[in-house]
Amino acid sequence: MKTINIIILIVIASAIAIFAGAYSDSSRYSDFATAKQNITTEYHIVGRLNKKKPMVYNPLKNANRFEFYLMDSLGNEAKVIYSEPKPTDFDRSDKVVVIGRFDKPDGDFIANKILLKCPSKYEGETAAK
Amino acid sequence: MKEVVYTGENLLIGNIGHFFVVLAFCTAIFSAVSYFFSANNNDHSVWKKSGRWSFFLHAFAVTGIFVTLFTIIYGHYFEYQYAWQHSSKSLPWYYMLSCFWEGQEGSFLLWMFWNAVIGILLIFTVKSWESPVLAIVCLTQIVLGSMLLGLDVGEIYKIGSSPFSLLREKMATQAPIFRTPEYLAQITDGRGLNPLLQNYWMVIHPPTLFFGFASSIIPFAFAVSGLWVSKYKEWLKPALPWTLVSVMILGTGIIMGGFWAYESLSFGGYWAWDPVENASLVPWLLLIATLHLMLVYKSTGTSIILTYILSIAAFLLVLYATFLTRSGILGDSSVHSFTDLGLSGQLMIFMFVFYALPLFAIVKDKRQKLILNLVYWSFFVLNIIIGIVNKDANTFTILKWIDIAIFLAITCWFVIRLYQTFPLSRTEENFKSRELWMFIGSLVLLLSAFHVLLVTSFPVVNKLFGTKIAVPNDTIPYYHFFQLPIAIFIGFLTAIGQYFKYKTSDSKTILFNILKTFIVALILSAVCVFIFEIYEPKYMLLLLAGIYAIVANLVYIFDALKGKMNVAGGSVAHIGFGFMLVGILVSSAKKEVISINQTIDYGKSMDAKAKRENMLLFKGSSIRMADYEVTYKGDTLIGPNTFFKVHYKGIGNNEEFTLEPNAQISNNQLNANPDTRHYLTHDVYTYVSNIPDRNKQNSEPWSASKTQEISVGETITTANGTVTFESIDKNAKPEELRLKDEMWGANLKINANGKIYSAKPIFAIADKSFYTIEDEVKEAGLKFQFYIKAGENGKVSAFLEISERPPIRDFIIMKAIVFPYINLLWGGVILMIIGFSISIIRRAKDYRRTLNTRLKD
Repeated sequence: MKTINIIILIVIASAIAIFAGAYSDSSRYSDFATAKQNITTEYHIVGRLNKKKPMVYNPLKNANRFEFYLMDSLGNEAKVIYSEPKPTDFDRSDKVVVIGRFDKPDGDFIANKILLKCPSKYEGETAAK
Repeated sequence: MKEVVYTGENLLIGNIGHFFVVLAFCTAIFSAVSYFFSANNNDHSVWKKSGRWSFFLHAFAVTGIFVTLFTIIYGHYFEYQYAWQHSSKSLPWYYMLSCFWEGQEGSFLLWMFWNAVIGILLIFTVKSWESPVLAIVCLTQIVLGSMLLGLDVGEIYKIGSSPFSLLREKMATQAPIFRTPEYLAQITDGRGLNPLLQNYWMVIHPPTLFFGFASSIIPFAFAVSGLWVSKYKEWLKPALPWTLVSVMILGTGIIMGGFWAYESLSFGGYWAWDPVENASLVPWLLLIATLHLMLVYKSTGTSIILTYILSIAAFLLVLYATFLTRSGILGDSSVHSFTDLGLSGQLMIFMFVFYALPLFAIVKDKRQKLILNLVYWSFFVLNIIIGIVNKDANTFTILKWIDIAIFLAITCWFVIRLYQTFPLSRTEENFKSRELWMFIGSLVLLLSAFHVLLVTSFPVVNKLFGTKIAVPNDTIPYYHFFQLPIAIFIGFLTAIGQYFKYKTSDSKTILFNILKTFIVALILSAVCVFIFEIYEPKYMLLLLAGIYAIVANLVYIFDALKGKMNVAGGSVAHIGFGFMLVGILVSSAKKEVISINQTIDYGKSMDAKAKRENMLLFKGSSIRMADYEVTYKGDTLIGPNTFFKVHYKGIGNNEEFTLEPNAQISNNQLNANPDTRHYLTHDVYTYVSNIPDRNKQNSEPWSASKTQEISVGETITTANGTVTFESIDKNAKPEELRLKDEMWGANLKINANGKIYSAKPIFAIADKSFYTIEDEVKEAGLKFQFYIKAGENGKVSAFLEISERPPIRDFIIMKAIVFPYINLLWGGVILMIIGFSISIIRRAKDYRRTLNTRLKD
């Protein structure tokens, strides 16, 4: 077998390994119900803020704790706890992606990261007059 | 409804702008057609001339669009939506340039502008390649120009989005403001530029990056031209210096973006593997691989097929990157993607057209070409029609699979045709040859790009196949699992590669040189392990790879090249790459969040596990962070920015400095920018992550007041602190009050949260009545009223009425990070740019020389 063929085989094998690795280590978009059943796995949950329920951020007590209620796409609601300061622009966004897991099946959702879906980072809100 | 005649609008300038847009679009078409016929008719001189002059006119028109739009922004013509949405009167002129890239129309315009510049440079330098190459450049100009047309087709669909639309046209609903003819007088200012973009890096980063993107058309255009005019190999020489330019500028643009993120975004770093960053990295990796393969081809005549594929793929990936960032598809996965401007369909057409170009170019047989054209374009039209008309989900699913199948078929067909055009060489590859190692290196870069592309494309995959894949929260280890070994491998290749000679080399000399430099690198790395305190094996390996790349290339310059710098471009760039590896490794592996408060116990078990990386700092009080005593000194408002003064004092040394991270605060939302203290060996980086909600604090209700009798010297304990009645001031009348009333004040000393405050509520006696003047200590959350009453027995007693609420205290919540040795990264980048510049000069001279010798022959 020619050297070049062996090299190409190795490259193809690596590409497959990368594909498999990237896929198997990836996370999933899901909902609160699934996340509750699987409290060891991290999930991405897209939801809307429930602005009627309290958003608690009391920096005097703990600067690294922020709590709010999120409604997922299926309409299930959960309390989300985030161990970072309240993200800026949080009040303006209504669609939010939280990444994390439940601490226990009937517990709160512990978010490790929050992605905000503002109207747009660059473009500013679309005119609404 | 009666037609409203608006007053005060300057419509002329917008019409001029529109005229230029249409002119640019038409001249691009005319130029493309002319060049097309010129290329198909052996460089026909009339067609070529007409192509050239219409391109000049086109470049003039593009410049005209640019100037007109700038005039609109500069002159604050807020009747135009673009000026209103992206600028304001207070902007300095250089940030008005940033307005261009805040909006999508402006960034397409920028791209067009660079393409026009590149086109003109190409016209004057590429000689015989002008016709086919410019035809392809013009084709991109047609597509980009269409993005600016703003033509309405029917009720819903429109082609492009014009930057010269009027505000009143753009508003979706008939807003009441536009019922008055003098509406313009009511619009006094624009919405302004996003504060994140008001940064000097944001003035130069996007143009640089866009030049990089735009210049990726050059290798693509040359490769396709090579197939088209059947000069299969001659294009590599003129394309090489341009590919170097492209790699250098795109790389500079990417790293400028990183530096901008580091200097003015508060995510705490220069690279976050964000999809938008990745989308620009992937074409760059491909261009680097292309560059190396071009060099291989130039010296040995091999690797031509992969060179073709990569030159073409790099530009297609730029288009794909544009689609990713502009179509809104990244929505949930990126923090800074654009929202959809309704151009995603057009962007898909863009990709559709350019994907097929190489195939059209390689097929020579007239009948095959005709069939291919018929099939592809009818399929293309079918797609558009179904896309617009059809609302049925099943049809879309079928169409989707047919689309995927056709794209796969095209790709396979193209690669097969390439193999037919360039039969593989029969000789056995030699492991002692430089070209084999460069080939391997290019493949590894390709793997790296494949990985980044794959992960970045998850949202597209989800959309296509209905999956729900997401990048995990721990982004960095997820990427590094593959990227780190690749970086190590590339580092070692960079080190040894140049010691091999093309074709074959002498084993003994190679082995000696490689070993010699390796031993030096090993010793240096061992020292660095202790200096940088890096003990993890994988990081130690990367450190070794980086240092080896530096040492080996440095030795190569002096040993093999005898210090001749004009041919050392590659080695200098490799040294820069080595420094970048080391800098990235040390600054990120050893980056340390120092704003961690060890003294406060947060109690609950969950919080103990939490990151606690942000610290609350009361104004005036100081907290220890790592080796610093950090004090928050207060804030000042300069323009729209609030600057927070954070004072650092080294413990046990004389080091002392004040950082002023700032933020724009609106509706108590914070747009924070960090501030960094730069040292040669490390950076101290600080940003404010939150501040107290002042409105909320001021509107907290007071508790029901409690009144109690009090005598001098007595102390009352409240929930917020203790209050001591120190003395009575019998002449407490404030000077500004010109009243005859007699006023007695209570001198109060308040001890709250470790601080002493004072207050003086007043009891005043008027002619026949009395009243009180309350006093409040906001920081202690206490409000006082003071009364004096005469009791039944004639005894005069003092009463104090106290209300409480949560104290209002000024504080910031901040994060501080120390980045060690980050200057190695920036220094490496600069070296890399220098290396590229040297190579560009060398290769351009090279090309000119061959041109001259050909002329003499």
